[in-house]
Amino acid sequence: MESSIPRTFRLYDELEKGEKGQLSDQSVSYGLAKGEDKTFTEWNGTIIGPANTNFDNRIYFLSIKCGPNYPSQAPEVAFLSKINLPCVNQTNGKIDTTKFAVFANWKTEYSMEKILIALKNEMITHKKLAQPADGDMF
Amino acid sequence: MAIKVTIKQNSGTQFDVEVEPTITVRELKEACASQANVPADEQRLIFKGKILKDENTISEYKIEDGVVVHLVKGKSASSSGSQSQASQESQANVNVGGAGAGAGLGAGAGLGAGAGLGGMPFGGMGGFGGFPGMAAGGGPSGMGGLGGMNPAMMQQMMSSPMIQQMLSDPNMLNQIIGSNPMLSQMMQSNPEMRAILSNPEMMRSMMTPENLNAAMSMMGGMGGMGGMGGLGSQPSAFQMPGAVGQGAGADVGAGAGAGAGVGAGAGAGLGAQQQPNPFAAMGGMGGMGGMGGFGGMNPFLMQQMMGGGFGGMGGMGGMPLAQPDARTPREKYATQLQQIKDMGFHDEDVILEMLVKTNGNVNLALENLFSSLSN
Repeated sequence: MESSIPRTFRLYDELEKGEKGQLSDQSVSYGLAKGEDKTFTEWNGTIIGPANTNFDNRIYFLSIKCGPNYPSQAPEVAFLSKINLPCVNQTNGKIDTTKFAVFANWKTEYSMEKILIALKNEMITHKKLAQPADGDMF
Repeated sequence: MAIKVTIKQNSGTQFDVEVEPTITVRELKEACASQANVPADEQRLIFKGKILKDENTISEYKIEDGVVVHLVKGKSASSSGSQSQASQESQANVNVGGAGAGAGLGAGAGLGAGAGLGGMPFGGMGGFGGFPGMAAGGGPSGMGGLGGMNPAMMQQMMSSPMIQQMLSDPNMLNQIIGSNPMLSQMMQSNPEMRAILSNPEMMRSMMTPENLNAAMSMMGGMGGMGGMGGLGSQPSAFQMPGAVGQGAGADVGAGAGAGAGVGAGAGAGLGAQQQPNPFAAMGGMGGMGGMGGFGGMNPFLMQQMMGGGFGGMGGMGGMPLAQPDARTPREKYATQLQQIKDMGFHDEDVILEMLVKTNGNVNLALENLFSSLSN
């Protein structure tokens, strides 16, 4: 149970960064899904689709679940908005851990911000990929 | 009172708007329109990973002074309809205080040492010294650690009328303290602690069954009993006299407490802060160290427990500071320095060195001083 304290501090730190808008990338955002969630488990994330891509100016919603072993273990992340990306399971929106480099090579120092930015970069990499209609949800 | 909200656009530009917290999201958009150069209809506002719906007030999203909201240009019509559970409201500010580690021996003498974990990312300001064991004259039979105390049992114990009464009655705590010379002395040398304990309002608000239950509930799944978690919410404002760790600004409603009994565990507690609160910096009392330890006791033997000692009240958690403390150790620990000098130590440099090492913990600093003398 030693991990519980670092986990809380770490997540608090991330929470504060998210709330105060201190993220290095303005196109991602996240916050606790439920304010009363004292375990810091369920989070919302958004990614604003990067310009000059098929994702341009769309808002993508994600759910992020930081389990008890976060940050030693990567959180579970799923797109709530429909999106066509190789690393996203097309039936449920979940990120395929083997196809997403950040998850495949997860490190304790990685954060939710890192994940969201990496996903945004996936959009840039696959900017020509055909996308479902804006606003569709998994 | 107007609040200032920073609006960031994905183009990288940002500006501040001053608005009343009672306005709706729609009105916020209108307030942003000219500076953002985006008509309200085409704005989408995002806060904490959620898109804001026009019809809700900004206070429902806990948009408060100083927060940052992202503005994206795009069609807004679909935005409010298309998002599902991603945007549940009710985002209470959950804030964490510092961490307090307290070791308490619940033996007759009632020793307690507390150490705060400073230097956390959010700068918990060290511990507040151990709150020496509240041993109210118990025998030498220290009550070991809490071993594998289970949360449900604890909950049960906490809700017993006796404990509730004890915790809700500051006089009772004071009595316990008063009845133990060593403890009272400790209190005297620790004016801040004294202030807290002799302030019934403060005591009460920290010790309400709700708070305690909240603290309890977060212990689910913890190994040992560890700290009593932080006593999160402080619904009303106080002024706490005392030089130690006057955290400024940062809202805090929780503490993490690590309690070392014999069966040590770690408790992390969070409290939801109901409203902006000047006293929020109080951190949440670190964690009651791990109420000494209720060895293998059975919940019905309250009497025995009371006599046996209450273990250390752990460190007084962190008093988070909004910004790094730029003061020199001499300024920062002026009170503690004086206290120690009053006890007959004269070498200020050595005392300060110890205080810095112990984060201003007089008790620990004294221990170190004594042990350095005996070497």
